[in-house]
Amino acid sequence: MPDYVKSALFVYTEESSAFIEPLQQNPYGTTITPVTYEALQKDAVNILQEANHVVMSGSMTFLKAMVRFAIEYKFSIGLIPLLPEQKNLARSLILPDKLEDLVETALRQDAQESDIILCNDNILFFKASIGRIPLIDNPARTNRLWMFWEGFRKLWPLRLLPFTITASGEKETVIKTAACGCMIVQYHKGSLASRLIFHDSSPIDGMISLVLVAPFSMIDYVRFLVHALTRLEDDTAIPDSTGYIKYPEITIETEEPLQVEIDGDKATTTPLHCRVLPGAIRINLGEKLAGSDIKNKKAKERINIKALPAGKELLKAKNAKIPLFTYASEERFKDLFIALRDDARIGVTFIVLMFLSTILATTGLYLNSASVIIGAMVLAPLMAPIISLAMGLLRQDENLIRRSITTIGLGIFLALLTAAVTTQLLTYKPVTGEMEARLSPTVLDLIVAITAGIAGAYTKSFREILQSLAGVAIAVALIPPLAVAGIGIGRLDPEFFGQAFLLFSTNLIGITMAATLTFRVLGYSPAVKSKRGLSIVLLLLVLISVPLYLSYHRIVKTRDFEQSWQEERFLVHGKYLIIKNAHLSEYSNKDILTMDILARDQLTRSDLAELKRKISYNFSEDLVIRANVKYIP
Amino acid sequence: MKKFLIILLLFNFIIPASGCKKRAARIPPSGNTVKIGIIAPMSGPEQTSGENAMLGIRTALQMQPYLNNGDKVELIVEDNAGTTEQTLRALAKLSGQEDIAGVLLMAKSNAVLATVPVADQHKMPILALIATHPDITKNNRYISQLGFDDNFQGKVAALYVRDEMLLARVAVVSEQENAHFSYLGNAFIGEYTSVGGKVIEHVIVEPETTGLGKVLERLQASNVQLLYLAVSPEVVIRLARAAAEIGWKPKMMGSDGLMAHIVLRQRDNIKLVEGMMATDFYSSSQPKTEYSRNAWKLFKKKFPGQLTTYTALGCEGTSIFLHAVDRCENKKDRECVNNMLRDTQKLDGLLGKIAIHENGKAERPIFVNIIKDQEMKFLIKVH
Repeated sequence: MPDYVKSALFVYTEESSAFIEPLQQNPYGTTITPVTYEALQKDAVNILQEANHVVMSGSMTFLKAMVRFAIEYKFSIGLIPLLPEQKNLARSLILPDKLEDLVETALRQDAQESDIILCNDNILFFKASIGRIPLIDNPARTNRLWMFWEGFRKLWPLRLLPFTITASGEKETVIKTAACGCMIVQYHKGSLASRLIFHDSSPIDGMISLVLVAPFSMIDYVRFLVHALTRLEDDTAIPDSTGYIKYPEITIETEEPLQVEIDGDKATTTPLHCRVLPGAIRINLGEKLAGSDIKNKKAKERINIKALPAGKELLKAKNAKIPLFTYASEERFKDLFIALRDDARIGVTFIVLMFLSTILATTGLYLNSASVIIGAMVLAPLMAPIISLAMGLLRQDENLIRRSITTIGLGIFLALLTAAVTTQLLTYKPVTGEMEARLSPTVLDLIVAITAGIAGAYTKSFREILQSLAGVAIAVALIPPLAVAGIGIGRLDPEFFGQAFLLFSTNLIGITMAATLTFRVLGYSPAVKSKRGLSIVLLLLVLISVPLYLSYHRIVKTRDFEQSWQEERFLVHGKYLIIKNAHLSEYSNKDILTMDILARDQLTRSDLAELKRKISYNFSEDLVIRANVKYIP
Repeated sequence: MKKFLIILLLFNFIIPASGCKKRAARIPPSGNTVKIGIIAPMSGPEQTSGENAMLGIRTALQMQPYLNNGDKVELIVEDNAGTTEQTLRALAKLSGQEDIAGVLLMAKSNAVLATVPVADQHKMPILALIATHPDITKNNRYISQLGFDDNFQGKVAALYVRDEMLLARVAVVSEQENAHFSYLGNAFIGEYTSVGGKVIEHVIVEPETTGLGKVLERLQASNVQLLYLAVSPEVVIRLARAAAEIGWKPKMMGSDGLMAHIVLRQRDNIKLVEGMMATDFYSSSQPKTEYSRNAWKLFKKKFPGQLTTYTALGCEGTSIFLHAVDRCENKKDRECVNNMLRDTQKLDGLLGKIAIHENGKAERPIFVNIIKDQEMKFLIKVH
């Protein structure tokens, strides 16, 4: 059973005069002395000097004026909000809805100390906001779908504005950053912003809590929306794109004066100086707030601005409309960049692995053994410098580009040399199926390369899935085409070399392009110079398109031709020949048709000559035919 | 990038389009006319086939309205009502006109065989559009075949059944009165047995034969795996109906023109022959040649109706004939036209290359089609 004050003043305005009677008829034995606000203003000293507890009700301006009196005359406050107009006030202080309960709360004797924040000498009850702070100012109870839509709708005009924030406490810290807006949160229980920092803030911690919102990109912003809306109640992490400063004194400066809204009113402009008056007033709060939230939490100064633009990022960020993709300074992803620089470096391990994987691939190709070739793919270290090259191109890091290209170039040279020498040493040099498979690059190879590039960049970005890089290496298979190209050199066959090297180039450029774009989507663009990197990627895309476009028509024709040959039959000297597994390839400027012939009768030289005549007659005279005859028993 | 794509698209569309226009206006008319005789069933039971072939002939003329010297091509059409007598009468009439360069003859093998003496007598080059009997080109110089002959057709059918379907027990049903079907049935039997297949029974039927149900019951009891049908389409339908009545669904294979006939004239009965295969001159689902694409476009634009084997043969036959006439200095020189016709080399047909050799026989692929989901579908192509 709570205690109640024995006597209290009730300071009212015209709009709250109706509460006099219910207050005077309270069942808690409290004597109520009603005083009009006008009377109080005329003789405040006499009226308030002896007052211990004042119940008040009126407009926000009236209440803020009364709070100033409370600071001066040290009386405790009981509040009766004007409902429904002041429902936000009631909700923030967790005050009850019914009048008799409001009276009961207002007359209690357990007033809690509370801080008062003064911003440019304006009293701040709930919040102060500067710039655009979509979503975080919304009441948390609003329909989430609607909130998402509202947040999304506000995406287009968003700009990051430069802010200089001076946080003064035990020590002074000056923060230069950019954000689309910021918000000081005091009693603002209903908002999403208060949910973000609820675990670390209280109205009596002697601190000012400042939340800054700075999405680097549209993608970042959407991610922020999703995170904010799906955030669990007990989640204590500050989401990406958000900064949080908690200090007893905060000064916010902007390049141009910006409007500052305090408790919903356009109260002042930047620069904004806010200071906290710890425990400046004593106030009767709602039961829940009084019981749970007003704990004397350990007041600790905090600055969490990791997600805010800093350094070079500021040059890109400030005053610019937010871009589609995120960008970042190198400091933000230090570990990744160190790893990528290591990957781009030529080391003994790289040379040894290149040498071994090429020997393995060359042997596997001659053995026509897919499993040996897969072993070579896993062993090959070429994927790593290509991923580094992609990052170098994106960030225009000349050092990284140079190192990566040197490493890749050395790798290519080593592979070609090793495969060529191995071929020269072999006395028997068959052209196996595994080799032939790498002599006709197709659009499908480009799709594989692009997918592998995306996967490569993605796995590299997330340490927890780094083990998948082996799978990516197998998928893209860089070493086997390079080994086939080397075999072409060993055979002194420029056509052989050219076709295989075209496949390797397709893979190389496809991976580089896809990885560059993936890194860009994942937010690794540099704060500056990003356009040049993209131009190079686009140029590579055009370059790769030329040979692929030239081969595209042929590839399509070949596929159609091969497909149609599944249904071709020949009647040769009365012998019925079924064609299966027709495959068209090109070698030394000649079209080679390889196929299986199924026949019941023995084929003679004359039969084969007639078959060749029929094929030449109906298809092309330039076809070189290689047939494998199988007999139907 | 957008601009580049637009330019690329313009190149793709404008250049071929302007090329077409140039081709169309290439030959200025000379004012002279070269006549080509057409004998086709424009009345009687075969009327639909004749009309269908005429659409193909007109399509070919739309594609090439003038010879390369600017002479206009005029068609002199004679109706043979699908009979041998009328065919002979029509040929005699056309042969009497000296300015006719040659004749496209749409008649069955029996009728074409009967025209041999007339053709020889008048030295009239004749291109037989649908007749496939091998003897049509035997012992004469002036009748050439556009289609493959029954030797080739029978062999392909027999070898497809034996080597591809791997069936060893068949029955053959043929019409003995019809020279084409009779020859075809025997060609099939000869080839099939020579490669180890067993012909359980050779059933001879006539168009009016009754009691087909009993025959089929006997064949079913003998574990026949396939019926080879060298019979007219009407008999095929009667056999299919009789098989359905006794609850038997044997595999069936027919010959050229059967599917076109069913699609054109037996649409209501097509369900009865679901799954039936047939050798044929064409297949609708094969990749088209450039000639075929142009012909198809024109046909769709100018004529209503469905493109069938008859239309296709009419179109190809006309183009081949015009190609032969074109190579003669005197377009009305029948001897030259005949020689050129029998020296047709690697000419683009609707679905592949066509040649007509010195002996008057055509070299062209044969197709095996199937009725599936009540449509004609392609199975294989034999060269």
